Amino acid sequence: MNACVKVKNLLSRYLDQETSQADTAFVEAHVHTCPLCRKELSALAQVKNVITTRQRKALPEEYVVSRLREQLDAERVMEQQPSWLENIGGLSRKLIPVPVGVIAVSLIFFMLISGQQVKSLEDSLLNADSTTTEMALDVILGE
Amino acid sequence: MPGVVCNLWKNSSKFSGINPGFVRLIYGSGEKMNEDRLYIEQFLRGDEKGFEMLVKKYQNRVLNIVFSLIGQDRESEDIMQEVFMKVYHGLRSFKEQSEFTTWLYRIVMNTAYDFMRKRKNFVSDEAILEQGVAAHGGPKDVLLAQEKEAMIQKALGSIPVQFRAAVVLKDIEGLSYGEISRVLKCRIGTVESRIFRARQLLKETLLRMGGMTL
Repeated sequence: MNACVKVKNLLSRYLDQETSQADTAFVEAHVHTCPLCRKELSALAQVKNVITTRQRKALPEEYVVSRLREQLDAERVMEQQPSWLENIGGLSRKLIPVPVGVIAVSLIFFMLISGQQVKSLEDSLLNADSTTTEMALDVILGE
Repeated sequence: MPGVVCNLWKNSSKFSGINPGFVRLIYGSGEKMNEDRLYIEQFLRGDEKGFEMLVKKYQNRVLNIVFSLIGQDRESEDIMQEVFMKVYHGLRSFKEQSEFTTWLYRIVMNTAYDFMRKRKNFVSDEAILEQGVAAHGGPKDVLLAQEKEAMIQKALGSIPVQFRAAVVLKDIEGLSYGEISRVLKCRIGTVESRIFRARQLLKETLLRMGGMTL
């Protein structure tokens, strides 16, 4: 039984002719006398044969080469085309930050002004005379 | 002249990329450059014919490895193209520290793995089987052959990808355990056990599917 275990572990390697001379002789001697191991070897050989002899796919040589040429030509065209930034030109590229800066300053200015206006409105509501406030409440309460 | 070895390349289709009557004189040790190295050198000198010769030599091998791994026709062609694009762009930095085939097959494996990672929802093997049989209404033996092919592919697709890769490189491509270990970057013992496990699983699957009888 120990021999069978050892041989079974060697069968795949033996099929692939990757066993040492000693192991090859050992496997062959054992398989000659052991029907179970012989059957196992036959099964593994069938599996190997099924894969080894399966149909091979083949493409025409020029088909693959021409597809690659097309893709490489397309890559070269893309590399040669300048990017949108390069298209703008040197002086124009330097001026790009100007309008960006103007917009940023405008936004900050607007935010500051808005803040001031809100503050003014709050102040006027807090400082309004009592008459005006009472009149507003009368309107709201319907008196 | 001592130490001079004259190699006359035959004008066969295998060497059609090299000029007919091309003669290479090798001095000294007599070491013979292999064909791949010649094509690479040709490419590096600026002659893209060298790259084309490499493509022609390996295109079907790459295609069959990829198809055995992923089981899809059109996608196999796309992956094969992607592999050769990577070869084209990487050939200048290929330092020849390994054989060209080791480097090439590593690219094949990595590209196929990337595809399998991204496309987990690819067509199932049953669908491949049905499409193959339905689309080719032909003689019975042709249909049977197609069914058998689909069955083999289904069996391959059912085993873990690491086992599949090892057994494909061994039984489809015929690499040695040592070559496979360099491609997959693992020990030879690991290659052996993966191939062993792959065959055990394939045996069980093929017996169950009726693709094999003992």
